[in-house]
Amino acid sequence: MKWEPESESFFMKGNDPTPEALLREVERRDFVKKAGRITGGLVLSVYLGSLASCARKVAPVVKRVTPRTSGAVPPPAGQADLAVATGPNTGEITRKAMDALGGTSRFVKQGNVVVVKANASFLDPPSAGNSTNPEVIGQVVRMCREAGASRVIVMDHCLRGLPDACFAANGIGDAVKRNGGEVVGYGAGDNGHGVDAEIPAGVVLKNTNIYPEVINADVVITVPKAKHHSSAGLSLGMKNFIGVTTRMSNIHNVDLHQAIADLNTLVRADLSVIDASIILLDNGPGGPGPTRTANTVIASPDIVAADSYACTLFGLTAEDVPYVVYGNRAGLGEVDFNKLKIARV
Amino acid sequence: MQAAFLAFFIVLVFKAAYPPLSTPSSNIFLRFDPLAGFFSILAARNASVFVRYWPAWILLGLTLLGSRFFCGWICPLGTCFDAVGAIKPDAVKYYRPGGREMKERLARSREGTLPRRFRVKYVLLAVVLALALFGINLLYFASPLVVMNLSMYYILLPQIPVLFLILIIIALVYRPRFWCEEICPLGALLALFSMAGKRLWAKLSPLSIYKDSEACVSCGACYRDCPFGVDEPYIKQESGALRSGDCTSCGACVSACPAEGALALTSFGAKLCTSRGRRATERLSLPAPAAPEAHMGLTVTRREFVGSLGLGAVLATGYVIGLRDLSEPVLRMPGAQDESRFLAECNRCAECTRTCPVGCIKPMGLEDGFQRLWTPRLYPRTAGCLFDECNHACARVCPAGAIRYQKPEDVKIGLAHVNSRTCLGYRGRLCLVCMERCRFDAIKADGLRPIINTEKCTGCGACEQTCPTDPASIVVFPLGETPSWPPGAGRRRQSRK
Repeated sequence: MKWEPESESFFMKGNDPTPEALLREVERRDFVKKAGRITGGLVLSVYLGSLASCARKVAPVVKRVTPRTSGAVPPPAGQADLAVATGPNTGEITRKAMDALGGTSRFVKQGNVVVVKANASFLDPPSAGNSTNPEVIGQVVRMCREAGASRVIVMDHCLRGLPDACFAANGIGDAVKRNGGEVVGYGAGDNGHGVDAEIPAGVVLKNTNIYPEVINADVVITVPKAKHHSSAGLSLGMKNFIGVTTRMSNIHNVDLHQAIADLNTLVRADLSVIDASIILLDNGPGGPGPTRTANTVIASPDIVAADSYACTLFGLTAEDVPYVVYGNRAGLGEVDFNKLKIARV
Repeated sequence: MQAAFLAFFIVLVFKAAYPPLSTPSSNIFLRFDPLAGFFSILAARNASVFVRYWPAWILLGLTLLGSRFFCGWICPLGTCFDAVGAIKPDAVKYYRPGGREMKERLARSREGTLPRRFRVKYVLLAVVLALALFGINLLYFASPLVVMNLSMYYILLPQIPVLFLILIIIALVYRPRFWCEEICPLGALLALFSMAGKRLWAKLSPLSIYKDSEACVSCGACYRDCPFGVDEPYIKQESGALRSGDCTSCGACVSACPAEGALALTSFGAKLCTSRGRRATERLSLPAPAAPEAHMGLTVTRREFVGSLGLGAVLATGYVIGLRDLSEPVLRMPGAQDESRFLAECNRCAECTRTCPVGCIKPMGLEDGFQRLWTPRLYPRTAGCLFDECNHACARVCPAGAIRYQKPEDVKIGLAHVNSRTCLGYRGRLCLVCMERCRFDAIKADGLRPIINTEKCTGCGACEQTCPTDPASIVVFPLGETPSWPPGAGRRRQSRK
């Protein structure tokens, strides 16, 4: 259609409107008007509805979750309870350590949803020693997929920046995607994603608020970085689960070490793979601080034993990191790793 | 057409979310506002914004050639009012034929003047411009674009946009386009320009209404349907383009006209569409049209205009004297100017608020005085500022240049202070959450206590956001403010003296 200046009528070019046509026109106009009003009313009511739902959000929706039970099975004959692998190739020693435990198929069944809690909070490359080495994460993700996991979700609550930026800077996001996993990064503004959870076995921590992925998973694997921590002493596999909670107030207001042990009775990791390739010795958990290349990966279904062994890399014992001892007391594992069958590879 | 511009505006509103759009820039609509341009130049005394507001000067040039077409075709707030008009019953929409209003209007026309209510907007324009000279930025009610932008922020939250709702309610019960006819200072500015131009170059007008008085049957349908209450197509005696400042060339009169060819929408002298004459001719009981004398010129006398400038000056003096000391610091975005300058420059359009990827910027309420109403400030307890990651997005979208872009290494928003009476670390608890949050290595642990390195601290507030105590025991204070607990207590005490 083309505008024709000077033509007598653009709209009715060439034919005079009959009264019927005029009537039709009027009816159509009425219909359009009516439709417009109805649509406007609908849009308005949807908007008012969303306002109302926002008002409802002010009252917290309490979704209770129950503690997980660890699905780990006793080691097959001839396999170890705790594996310590050393070597310069971090990805390779991760696989060696997991194989020494009997492979990931011991923990991951066909079609399982696996949540890997990484340490990906910081904007530094692996050499800074404050985030889990991407090679460790990548290897764990790949082995879970090989064992038939339907989904492998690598998650963390990022501290020093937007989740996407953190997962990009420390290389974990890339490693996960390369190996067939998915990244769920939470950031500072995402506390609303958590669900309330009671901790029946909790000594000082009776309830918390936790990201739902970790509770709904079939298998939970903690893949921390072994590093110094200014308030907890050392940050290891049990401490790693502070990063799936959103409620900091009641964790730090009580005995932090006991709170960490209590939290672990809720989450119940099935496997701990501690990355000690480059360890941060001071000014943790974020650094910057002095590092040491330890070239070690510790893996165990016993998260207490794995943490207890990791303490020795810093020249400490479990007594220096009370949450490990409290974890033993809560029945989460064996603090004296010498009682376990250790495979050094 | 109008709906398309509204849709474009709303798309831009969404696109203002992080990361900010570059082409077309998400603030392009706001920079179409010549009033904002004048404000920035007058209030901030900053001529560099002249270039930033280039779309506004184009619009002003087109208006000078043509009519207030922006109001009738483009303005998103105007489109909302038209939507209100569409759902209103016809009987109460515009001007009831033979009603008191119409009669008064026509009587005034014979005198060559306008009813007083049509002059209010010019007075308001003069007042807000005078206030702008004193560094007082009232654009958030003077410009429909800013009102709309701010309202969209609240609508999308979703919260109730109070000002917008009030305007819509008035439009519902009074007249759909009451704001544009009687209040809008931007409309007044455009009307002044279009009147000045129409006297000179009617043929060059990009959009205007042409009247053929030969074909006119003097029925008054054009006046009845004009959303802006322009009576000129009805009372004009000779053929030619309409010259009224309030005509927006929206074409409502053309579609209302029952006389074939009496009215036409023209562009540069060419007719885009003419009245079809398909509606039944129905004489409205209107007073006979009379030839107006001075009516097409300025609708405000020079004395009134200068008087209202003076009124604005008086108001401004009272405003500055009677209200609180403007130099008191408030925690603003990185790159914000010092407080009094910021208040003058900031349009309160909420563009920065919407672009912030973490949501740490929010418009202030009335808690810190009227002059800070709707100015954006930083709320680190909601979220710490991530200026180094978003590449200072708020500065990049600010249409007024109130937030200047800074390199991340130059940013110093404020300074964090620890309340040693409530801090968990000082009470022997294992916490130091602030330390693990700090990405500038500005918090060191002294045992269990956080110690702040004032050199390294940028005031981003990540520590304040994450502090597990309630209220936070580590709080960012604006530079130059001595910490007081609870925060702001000291300031309130001072101001009460």
